Amino acid sequence: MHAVDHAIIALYILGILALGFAVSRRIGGFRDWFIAGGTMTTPVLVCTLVSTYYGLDVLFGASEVGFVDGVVGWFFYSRPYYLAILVAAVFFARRLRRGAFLSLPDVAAAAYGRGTQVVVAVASFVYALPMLAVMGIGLVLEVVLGVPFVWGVLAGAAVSVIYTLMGGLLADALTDTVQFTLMCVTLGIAAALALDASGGVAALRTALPASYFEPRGTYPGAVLAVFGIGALSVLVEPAFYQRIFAADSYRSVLVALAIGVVLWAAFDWIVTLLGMTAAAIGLDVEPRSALLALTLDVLPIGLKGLFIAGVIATAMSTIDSYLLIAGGNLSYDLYRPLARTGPGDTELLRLTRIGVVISAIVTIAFALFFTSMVSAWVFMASILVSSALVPIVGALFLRLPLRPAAGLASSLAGLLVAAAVFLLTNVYGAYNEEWGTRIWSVTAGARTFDIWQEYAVLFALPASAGAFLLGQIFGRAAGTTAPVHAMTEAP
Amino acid sequence: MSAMVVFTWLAIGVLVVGSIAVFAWFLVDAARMFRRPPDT
Repeated sequence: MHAVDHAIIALYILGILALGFAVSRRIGGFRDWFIAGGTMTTPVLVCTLVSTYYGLDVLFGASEVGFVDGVVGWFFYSRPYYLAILVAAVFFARRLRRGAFLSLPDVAAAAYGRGTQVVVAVASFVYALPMLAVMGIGLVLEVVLGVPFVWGVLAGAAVSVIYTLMGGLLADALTDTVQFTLMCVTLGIAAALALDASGGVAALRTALPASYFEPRGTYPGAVLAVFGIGALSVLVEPAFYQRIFAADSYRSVLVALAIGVVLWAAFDWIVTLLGMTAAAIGLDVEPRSALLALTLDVLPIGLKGLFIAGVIATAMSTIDSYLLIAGGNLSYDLYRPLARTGPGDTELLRLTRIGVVISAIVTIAFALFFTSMVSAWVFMASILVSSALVPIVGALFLRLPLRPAAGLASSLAGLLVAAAVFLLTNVYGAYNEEWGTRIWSVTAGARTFDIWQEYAVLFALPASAGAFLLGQIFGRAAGTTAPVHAMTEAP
Repeated sequence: MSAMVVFTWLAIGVLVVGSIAVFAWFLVDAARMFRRPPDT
């Protein structure tokens, strides 16, 4: 890469740090730091939602699917997310805001008490660790700038931690606005240039098999169903919840999510298409590197540096937000309810900053330890959905007194069944090269069943729902606190 | 022009123009936000 490109990347990183410092001078207490004092307006919400939720797992993962399989990823993996986001916007956001919560486990605590809060907080913490983004930034810096992987991981995490410690969610969100714009603009320009260089969409149809253009691709129906179910994670997504609580109004959330869906749909489609383009021109690279290889090939000096800054921005916007969530899980959702005397505001702020650093260290350790993160991400998302979805939906929508045992049983059952399925598929299953996942073949009588590790939620969600029912029937009644649905419904 | 071509160029337009428009909207909002005195 040219010196101009290096200079652009360096300027971006310095600018982000300067912005974090500027914001830090406006921070008061914990609420200011953790949910920006509830002042985030629509454009900030759009930028922070889009850039936080989309990281290198989407940039590299979606393009990888496009490279290998074509449009199926957009039709069956991405599109259900847009529907789930709109459901969250219309049915969940308003109720959540009325409840005056600060985090996802807060909702569980209000409905079911400390036990369920702890389980949901643990699941949220595991989910929030930005391992993929940290690993991705290490890979990008290694491939593009020749920085050794370990140093790339440390540098990427360190820069994100620094401005997050200073300015909290507001620093995250404001740097997200720059990162969001960089991500989108550089990707759009790269796509236009790459398509032009490769002969356009018509050339793809000539070069690629017909299956690349089939919405279902070549995936089994059950796997497509699991892709769709994965979208349910949006309904209990910690970063979404935090931004819903941080918004200045419900209307801001609604408009931001609607605009976000349009941007996400565009981002997904372009990333998928770039993966397909890389396959069409016969790039001999690993599927996950296809997008990077293609864009670096077609972009001129200057734009190349901007695109890499955009890729780094894509990762950092995810790292900072999820480190904040994970740090808050440790201090606000786990330590605070279990401590003998509740920490004051200043102490909570200090503990959360410590939590952010601890989360960063754990994340770096995982990023350096694991060689394949795809399974780890599926595991993390399955754990969160399996343990949190049933109790949270019950808390927000069931119009009856909830038993603490219902929340605890459903969150524990979901967590344990999901973990068990992953354990069994990893111990007894085999890695399948064609599908890039672990599959456990179980023979029952004359039939053989292939259990993919992605099927964990298909077992865990029914278990969670069943446990919820049993807890409601046999559990003891809660105390005199108002049920969550009463807090969150319209007066 | 096929639907895929139209959708692709629409997506590129949304990414480039849409994101710049949101960023411009943010700048207007930010000017208003930073005129607010810092919390004590």
